[in-house]
Amino acid sequence: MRMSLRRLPAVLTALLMVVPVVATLIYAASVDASIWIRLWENRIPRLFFTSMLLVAAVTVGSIVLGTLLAFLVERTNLPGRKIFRPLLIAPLVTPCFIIAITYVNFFGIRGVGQKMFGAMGINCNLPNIYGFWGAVGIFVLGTFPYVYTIVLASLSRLDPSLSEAARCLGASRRERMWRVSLPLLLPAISAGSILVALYVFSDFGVVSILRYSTFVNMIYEQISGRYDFAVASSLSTVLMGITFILVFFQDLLTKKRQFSNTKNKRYNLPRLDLKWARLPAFVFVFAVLGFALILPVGVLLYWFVQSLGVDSVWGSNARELFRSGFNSLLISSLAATAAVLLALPLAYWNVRDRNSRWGKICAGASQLGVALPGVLIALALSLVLGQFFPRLNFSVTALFLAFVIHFFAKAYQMTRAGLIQLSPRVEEGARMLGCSPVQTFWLITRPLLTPALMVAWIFVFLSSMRELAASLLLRPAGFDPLTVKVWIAASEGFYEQAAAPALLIVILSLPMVMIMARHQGQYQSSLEST
Amino acid sequence: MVTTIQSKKSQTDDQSPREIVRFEKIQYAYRSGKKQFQLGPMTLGLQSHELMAILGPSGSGKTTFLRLIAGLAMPSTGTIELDERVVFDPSTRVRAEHRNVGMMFQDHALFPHMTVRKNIVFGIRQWQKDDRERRLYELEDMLGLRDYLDRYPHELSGGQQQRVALARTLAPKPSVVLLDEPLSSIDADLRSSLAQELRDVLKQAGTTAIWVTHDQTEALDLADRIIVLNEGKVEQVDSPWELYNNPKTRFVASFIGHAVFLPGRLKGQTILTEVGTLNYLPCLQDFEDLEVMIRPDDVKATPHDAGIGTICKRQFWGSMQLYTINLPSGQRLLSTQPAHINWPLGTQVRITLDLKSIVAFPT
Repeated sequence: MRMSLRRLPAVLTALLMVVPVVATLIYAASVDASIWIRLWENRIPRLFFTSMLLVAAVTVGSIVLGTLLAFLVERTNLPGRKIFRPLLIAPLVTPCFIIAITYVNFFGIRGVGQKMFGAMGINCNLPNIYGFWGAVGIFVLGTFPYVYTIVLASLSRLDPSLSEAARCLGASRRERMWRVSLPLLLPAISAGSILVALYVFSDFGVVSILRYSTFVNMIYEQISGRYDFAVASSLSTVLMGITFILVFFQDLLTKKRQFSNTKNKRYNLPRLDLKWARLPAFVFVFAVLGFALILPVGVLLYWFVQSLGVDSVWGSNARELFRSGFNSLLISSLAATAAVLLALPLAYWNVRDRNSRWGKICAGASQLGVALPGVLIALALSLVLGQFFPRLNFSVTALFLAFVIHFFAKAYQMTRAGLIQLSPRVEEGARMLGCSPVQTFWLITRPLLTPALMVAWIFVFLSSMRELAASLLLRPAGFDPLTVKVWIAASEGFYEQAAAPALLIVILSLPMVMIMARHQGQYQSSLEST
Repeated sequence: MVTTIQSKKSQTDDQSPREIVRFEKIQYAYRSGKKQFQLGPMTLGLQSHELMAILGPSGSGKTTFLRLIAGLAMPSTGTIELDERVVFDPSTRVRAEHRNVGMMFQDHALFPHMTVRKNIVFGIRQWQKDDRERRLYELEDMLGLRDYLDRYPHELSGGQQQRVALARTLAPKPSVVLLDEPLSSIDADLRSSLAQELRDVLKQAGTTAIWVTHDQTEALDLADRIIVLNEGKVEQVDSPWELYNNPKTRFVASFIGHAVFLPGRLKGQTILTEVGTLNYLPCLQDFEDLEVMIRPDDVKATPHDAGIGTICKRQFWGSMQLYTINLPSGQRLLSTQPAHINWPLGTQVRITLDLKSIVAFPT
């Protein structure tokens, strides 16, 4: 099969994205067999159990909560539904590990919660937030919006005549829900739940803060505490295996059910009257928002106000804070630009030359990163760089590469989704009017593709801003991104110092949430087509 | 529930016509696009074993009419009886799922996550297994579905989807079958053959069917009787022949078939028009100024140098042609002519009107 030179950038991009997987596998293969045996007999079964239990519990919780909220907002006469509809996506502005930090403090001894209730004259012991249930609760609050947005989009496009057809065939309300509506929402639910499952599976911050051990923080511990790369890479291999199985199953689930229920919709079904349950439903939705959004942001604001009076935060450390803010912005925008530029040739190849087998292979290979936790990418990169380019290890370049590899898959999916919507006839029209391929790209494709590229850029930018584990592992000395700043301050108990960078992250995350809300349809279709 | 459906079936087998749908002073407000419309007040009875078409422009309330029968919409006032049973009045509201009415939707609304087989038996899922299998066998036989029972709807062509939708609708043996523009998503060249097929199956099944369409050829072609709706009001209920030849309102006259309205003046027993005098049996004496409905086949034209008409347009339809004739006043007439006639544009023609009966409306 002949491949022209202009495919080189795309091929190199795909090769770069495969590096972490290959490196981990090679390293794990060279690990002494006795270590493997020890791990299999001892650690792996336990970690597998704890990790899977957490993932399963959070995924189920998010599916139930996200679907229920989407249903309440879209299909019932819930009071305030117009305001709740956009607001329920908002919990995404706070990264889960920051939610966890605020909760640990709020529910802790002499924490914000006790002070607050103390001021109201109530003395009480707040429940213990550490451990399994605390982690499940915080993850559900932080991740249900993924399910919510996708299910909401699907629910609002559901063809109402299907439900009416079932009605004319004698199906009661309950039958219509179980036999028609829910099966039709299943692709959306499964797309949302795989997002949640991967998020939880690869998360490092929340489980560390709440002292619940999973694969990811065990790997982190091996690298950062004991410098034991052998055990870390063996555990990573197992972790990788499990995530690929997860993604594979999701793929099966959506592939088998490829049907569109989005015909031209002429009218809406009447909303379900909640009757006496209107008020309880309102209280419930409000409480979800309270716990997922108002409480964490409120606690952050409280710390921030407190910090204004503390000289050590703003006096001596203000400059450091601004420097780390600048560092974050710099590295995130570099990573975003690189990811989008690298995604473009690959997406172009894959969309415009649909039948190219090599194009498909390269695109598929470049998607491997989507399933890898940040910890794993950081580990693999430091292994490779330590071997071949020791001077680059633990440098800004290393961190930059980690971000690009980590978020490339999303950038690629969004770029591809944008390109698919652009008919090749438009480009051919320009060619017929005397434009060279380069001119056509610059005059026609580029302006039309700009919105999709912007979305991809912002997504990578903000994901990098919020990334914790890779930043912690790969940061060069003196180069602390905002997340690292929050993490260190909080782990030492200086919450006032954590407030300003954390709030900055929250504020900068707003556009991402708005993009998710606006592009949920496109986002979903790009998800389903992977 | 199951038993009532089956006992009902034995009633529907008896062939004496009954009133299957009865509307009494029905009123319903609805929106179409940005405009607010009002359906009714409407009083109407439909006989069993008939194929009725509901014809009207968009926004005239056709679909709403069906949804009222189906129970997917509830009127604000009035009484609805189905099969001599009250399903709606101020104190009764039988919901759609208990009305035993079948409905075929515009895009067929096949359940995309179920196979053809599951789609068809959805409405009879509570029947005994033997009865269910027998019914499925009957339907697949009647509609020729056997080869694709285990496929999914998106794997079928438009015509196949339509057959499945019909089978699903007929499966529970509904007392009335409602069809909401069933052919609108079908390609134009398939439409008329599928329409005939649909009609044959409905007749064979012996059900009463109400068929909504905005396509008048479809309605004239298939229906035993047609209800013409306009802006939420019933204009006329009649057989296709009557509607075409004796329209009761000007709207019906202009909506069904081609028609030209020729201004005229009543004088005694005759109407004076630009193209001659027409004999008239007086029943509109109160009016002096009239418009006479002229169908294209009523207009006889012969080329003549002194003729008052001028050919200004011709449309060739294959088996015949439609000529548009300009009169000195600017009024135009339409005339159908056999395919072999070949009059160039600008030909002067002499015109005679050959009206079997005169339909005129006051201006």
